[in-house]
Amino acid sequence: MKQSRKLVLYGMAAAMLLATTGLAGCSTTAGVEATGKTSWNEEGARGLDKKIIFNNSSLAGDIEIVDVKSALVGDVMRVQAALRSKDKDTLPFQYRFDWYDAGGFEINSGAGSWKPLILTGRETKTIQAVAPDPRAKEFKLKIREPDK
Amino acid sequence: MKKKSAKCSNAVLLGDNTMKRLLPLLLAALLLVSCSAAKPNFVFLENTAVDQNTGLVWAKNANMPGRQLIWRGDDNVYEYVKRLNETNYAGYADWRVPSKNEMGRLIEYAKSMGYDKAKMDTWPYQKLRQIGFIDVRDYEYWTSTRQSPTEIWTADLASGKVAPKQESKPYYLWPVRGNSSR
Repeated sequence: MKQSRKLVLYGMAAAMLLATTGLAGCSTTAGVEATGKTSWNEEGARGLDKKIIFNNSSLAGDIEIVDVKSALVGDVMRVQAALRSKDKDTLPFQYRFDWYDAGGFEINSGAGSWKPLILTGRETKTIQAVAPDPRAKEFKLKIREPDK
Repeated sequence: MKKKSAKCSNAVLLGDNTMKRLLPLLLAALLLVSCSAAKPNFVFLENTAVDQNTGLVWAKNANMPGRQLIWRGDDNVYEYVKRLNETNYAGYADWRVPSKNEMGRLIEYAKSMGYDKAKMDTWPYQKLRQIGFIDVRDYEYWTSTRQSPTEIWTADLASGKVAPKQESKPYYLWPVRGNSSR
């Protein structure tokens, strides 16, 4: 009776552990995220509110997002990010840009693909992207380790 | 010697009398000059109106964008003025949004030409049209003077009121260049 009770408890604990790890995997990007949102200052000049989030400590230790800037090409948003390797070895990873409108709704949801990029030791590279249409006022640059 | 001193005192007397007569005239002239200095004195050119008293240059067309503009957002007041300067509109690259005092003085000038609240054709936008400005709207115009993080002073060319308004609404833009005391 005691043994079966223990088994039930262990089973429940294992199930809870699986559930939480599974949820965590779904809710965050396992990598680095840089977000930029178009803003206007008191004079009405366009600017960019930037935020960088690290969800993966090993990638955070390897890559640094040195600079993020945006400009308009006609009326379409264009973004450039400079990435620097903190590692002395070659660092392969993948990145993608997601675009959102002023209300925070994703534009062309899921249309963007992961692109491979390799940084050699201590190298800095810039990556660029142009929004799919003029509605884009916000972007997310996602960086992750390559598929194994 | 005596004759000379008599002549001198006569001249002084004559001067005093003349001064007494001229003084009211001089004062009136001074008053006129000071009044005209405070009021704009426009010379209209092809695309601009130059206020010879302040040195300010106003766009002759008071509705160049052809619509109301927002303060923060795409295609806003800032972007429009930037484009004017990039394209050297009317030969100038220092166009800007007028301050509340500059708009206020323009309204006062329009009102000084005979304002009657009950008569629409005496309202500031009508008077400014009558003197030569184009497409002056009977609505509110942006000024560059901020009241709070969310409010900017606007000038209503229909009622003549200059007051702070929520910056989230669109208003008309009347670009100006040059410096005044603001």
